[in-house]
Amino acid sequence: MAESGGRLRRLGLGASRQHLPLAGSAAGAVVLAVLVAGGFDPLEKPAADVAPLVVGEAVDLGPFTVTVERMRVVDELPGVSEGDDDTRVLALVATVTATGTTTEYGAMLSESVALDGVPGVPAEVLPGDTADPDEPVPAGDVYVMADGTRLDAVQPGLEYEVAMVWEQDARAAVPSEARLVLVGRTLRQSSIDRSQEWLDPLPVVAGDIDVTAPSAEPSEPAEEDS
Amino acid sequence: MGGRRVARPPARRLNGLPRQAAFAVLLVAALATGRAVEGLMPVDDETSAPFERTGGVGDRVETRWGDVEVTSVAGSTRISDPYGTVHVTGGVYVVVDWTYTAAGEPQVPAYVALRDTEGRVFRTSVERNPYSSGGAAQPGIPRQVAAAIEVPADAVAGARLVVTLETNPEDHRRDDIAVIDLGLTQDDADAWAASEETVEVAEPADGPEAAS
Amino acid sequence: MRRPGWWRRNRWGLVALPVTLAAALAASSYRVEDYWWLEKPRDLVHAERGEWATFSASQYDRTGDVPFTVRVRLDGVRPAEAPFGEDEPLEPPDGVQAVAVDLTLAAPPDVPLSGCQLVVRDAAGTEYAYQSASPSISQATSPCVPPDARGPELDLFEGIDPDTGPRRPDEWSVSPVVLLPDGVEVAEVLLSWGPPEGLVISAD
Repeated sequence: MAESGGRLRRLGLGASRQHLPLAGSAAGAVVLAVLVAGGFDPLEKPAADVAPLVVGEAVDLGPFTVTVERMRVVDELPGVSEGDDDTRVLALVATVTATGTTTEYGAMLSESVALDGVPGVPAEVLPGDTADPDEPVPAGDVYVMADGTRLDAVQPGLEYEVAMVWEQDARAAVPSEARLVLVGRTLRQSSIDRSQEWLDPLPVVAGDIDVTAPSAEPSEPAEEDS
Repeated sequence: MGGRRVARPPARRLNGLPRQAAFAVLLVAALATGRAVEGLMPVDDETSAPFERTGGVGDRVETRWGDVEVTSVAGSTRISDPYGTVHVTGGVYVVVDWTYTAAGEPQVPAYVALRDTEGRVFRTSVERNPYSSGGAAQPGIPRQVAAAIEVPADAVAGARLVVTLETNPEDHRRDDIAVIDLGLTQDDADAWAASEETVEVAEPADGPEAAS
Repeated sequence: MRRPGWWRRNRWGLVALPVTLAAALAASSYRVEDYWWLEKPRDLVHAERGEWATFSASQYDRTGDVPFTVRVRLDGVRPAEAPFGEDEPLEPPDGVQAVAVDLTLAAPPDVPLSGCQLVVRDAAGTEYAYQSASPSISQATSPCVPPDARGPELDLFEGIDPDTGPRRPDEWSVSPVVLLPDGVEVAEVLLSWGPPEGLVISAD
């Protein structure tokens, strides 16, 4: 069936006449393979349903259950900010439990609670990274109310009353309200090493919480000063 | 075996399928069966499970990377870490002292955890669950170390101490881990949950136990 | 007519089999380099106590490979009196001895040599490492260079001058201290500026 018309034409003719069923089944196989593998990821993940924040109600974030209690401005918090004129501390009091059967570390907990759009609260930026000023700012640190020490590991089965803290530039106005974003995660197999990990951080709950000014109440967390 | 038997054409039994097609079908079927069996059986978990070297308090538990001997177990709701910072828990702090002797070359057991009877795992951290290995221990020189781990009171009875080299549990596969039954009871749990005595967590030190 | 035998029918397959096996093993051993060859010094130069050994190897930094040559002589292994480069008294715990490894090294002063590991081995091959900080000892970070004139460092960080200290002499002696359990005899001293190369000096 070698005719004139060049190679491309010949290939085209060949495909249309003889190899059509073959090409069809090949395409079918590709589609099937893609479907079996889970299909293509959508370009943008659909935004999860973000529920409104209810103070005093437990929120399941995946690795943790977090109950937001209250938020206040603290002039002094031992080990965090000691009477510093340049910064003040916004402290969110919350109750935290780990849901799983193994220790979850504090970094994930502080990344799970973020402040959105409060002036003068900058994100901690790693060298070489740039901060997006519109992104919610995760808590700088988490302290245990009972002893004022840093909560760097959340043990399963224990309930912790914690203060999550953000430093605010003292030149910015004391907010009367702040928007909190609670970030949830899903336990799934990592595509890199097939281990089970808490991945895919997505906002689960967001809403405003009243901020109590420092003069209104004495600073609460931590009697320990070592 | 089989050398001669191949010559007998099996094609006839397979309803006239061409011999090669039958072979291909059989091959795929064999592979699929193997895959299915592998998926149904816990092959991966079994073959990659760590080797648990078990013992009790006072036993010298031998592993590939050294010996672990738990010397004492205490508990309270308050501890004082090696920097003097006091930590208070709503559960129980279990404080374990043990001696580690490296084998072969300097080694650091970096993974320390308590495992309760339900299988929950409570690991050490830097501040709130203090454990310091003191760096790699020279082989043959016993190192005294201590860890304090906060757990809920219902995790105390029957808890075991787990010690091994790699911090990532994924890397424990096919390696030795020391699993030591701390011999704890519900009475210990109740007493410690009510205790407000501050237990000091010792710094790492070299040498035999008497020296510390 | 008799059919050819099994061996004859499959002769090309049989010829290909060892080649295929070798290729499969080679293809699946891509981690041997990282997890075995580069894990410890394995490409060793051997020397005897009291004689000069010439050791050539390579380190690497921001500029690429940094080949170097250093001459090393093991003068002896003796009970130590003081940690290396520190004034504090040496107080090993019970059952522990401190040995000083007396080495003399020679290299041009512009060669970065501070990043070295020193290990002593007993006759059974058990390894004891030089440690600059442990619960029982605190001494100079590098066992191979004079603590007060370390010479240049590797050029690892942009904007940091790798050579700021005083000039290192052309030939110098060091006495790093290694802690061992009592009764252990040092059989070999192993020096390395990064695996796989290493210099083994017999201490006998």
